[in-house]
Amino acid sequence: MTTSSQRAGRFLQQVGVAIGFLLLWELIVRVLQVPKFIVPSPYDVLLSIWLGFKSGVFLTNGWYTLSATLIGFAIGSLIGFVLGVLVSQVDVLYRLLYPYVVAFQTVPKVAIAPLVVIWFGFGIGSKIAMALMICFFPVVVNTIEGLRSVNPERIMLLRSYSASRFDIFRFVELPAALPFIFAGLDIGIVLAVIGTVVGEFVGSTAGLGYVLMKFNHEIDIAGVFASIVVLSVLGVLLHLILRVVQERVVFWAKPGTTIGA
Amino acid sequence: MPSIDVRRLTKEYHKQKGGQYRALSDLDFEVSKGEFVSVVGPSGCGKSTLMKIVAGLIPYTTGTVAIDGRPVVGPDRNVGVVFQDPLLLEWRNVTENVMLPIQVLRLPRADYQAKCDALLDMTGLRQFADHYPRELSGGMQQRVAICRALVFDPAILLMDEPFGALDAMTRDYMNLELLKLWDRSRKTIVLITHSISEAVFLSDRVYVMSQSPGTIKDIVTIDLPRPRTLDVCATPRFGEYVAGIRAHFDALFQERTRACVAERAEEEAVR
Repeated sequence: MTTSSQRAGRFLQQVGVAIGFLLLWELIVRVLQVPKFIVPSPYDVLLSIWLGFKSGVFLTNGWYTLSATLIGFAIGSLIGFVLGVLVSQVDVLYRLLYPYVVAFQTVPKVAIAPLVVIWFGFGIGSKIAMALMICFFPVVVNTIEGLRSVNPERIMLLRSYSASRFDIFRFVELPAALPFIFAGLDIGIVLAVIGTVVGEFVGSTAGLGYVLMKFNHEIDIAGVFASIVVLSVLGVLLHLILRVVQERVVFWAKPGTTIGA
Repeated sequence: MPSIDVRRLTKEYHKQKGGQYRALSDLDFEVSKGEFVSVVGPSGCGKSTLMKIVAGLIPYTTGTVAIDGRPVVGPDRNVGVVFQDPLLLEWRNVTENVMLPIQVLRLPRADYQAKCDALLDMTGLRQFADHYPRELSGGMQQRVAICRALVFDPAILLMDEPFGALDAMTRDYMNLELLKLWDRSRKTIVLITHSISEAVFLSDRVYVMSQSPGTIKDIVTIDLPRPRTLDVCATPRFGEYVAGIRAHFDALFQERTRACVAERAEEEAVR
């Protein structure tokens, strides 16, 4: 057991490592006089972040990226969940579709981005489609695996009360699969951000990915770094929110005992 | 009319490599109302299969199986089952786990809450009613499972090695609890076990099963006075019953060893 003071101590050490790293970076850039357009100093990056928020560039474009990510994630994981339930419950579907789900999972979705932009245009539609497509797979695979890995004895227990197929699903299979499903959602939300940004790279007029590319063309490398930081923070926040929801909903499962995809 | 009536029961499985495997062969099994019967046998003799067939959970090949005179075609409302594993649902607390059958059977929850509380009282789990399974010991989990099997008041209780995973002392305690419970409710109880002394201690009659094919080798009536306490285990009569049943298994074991040796010799001869 670690005490809270031990935990606080470890946290301080971790923060110390980060501060040390930033100071070292600052030092190297200054001593070696690395040009700003190759590697900016942490100070330049911080300044860029500040300016980006002050001018509203990060807020408006961050909102764009966030909404595309969340809409894509919501639709993608809903479709993934429903399809996962159908495939796991109907043996014919499992036999016919599951190999394809697994096969498609290995297709690099990023490579499809140019096509998606052609099909859905330069607007938010293509970003939502990218986020949707990329977060769909971990959710569907985890849903199927979770539902199919239920201890058959528990199903027999429910059958001993003459339970209907739906009762077995409702009382045993779905709750037992929830830790798996949440593991899928957790991977999915982080991937959804990546999907949106890739969509914005390929063709867009807004979003953090678009801003990042714009800074890159203007050789404002501090701006590029600033965009990366903002995007990372967005990703981490979404992941943490999902973790909190997971700990509430799947309170009986210890985090880390679930599988990923 | 017997509570459980099994006649000439045969159960065959399809082997994966093709062909049939006979798990139960020509088996007769009968339990009167309110009787406590145990089934003992080596692992793999088909005693769990027998229980699952009586519970209506798996189909059988030939023969007849009836509960209270009605042929078994599926799970029966009058039968409660306790499995070797407690099979508690981790996302439900003790009360919710015990009330699970009430929910599934669509019985009015309010009518059975008192029954649930009484069972938890009887098994000493009342103060753990709001606890989740992972906070309970193995023995407590199995007691919850027993409460769950009894909450809808079935007339018959089928138990498949319910105490197999418990340590010896907890097991003794659970046996006493089970006897008290049976004393008060006078339910028909069938206990599947591989512990001969447990079977003798608890039962009115003990069915001794043999292996491949699974069938009844002997039926031993245990004529020990009731109510029984653990002291009865130290009596010569108790020892005689245990020794008598064990002799069956010794014979079975020797037979199997002989068969093995013969087979080996045959192989050698062919070579």
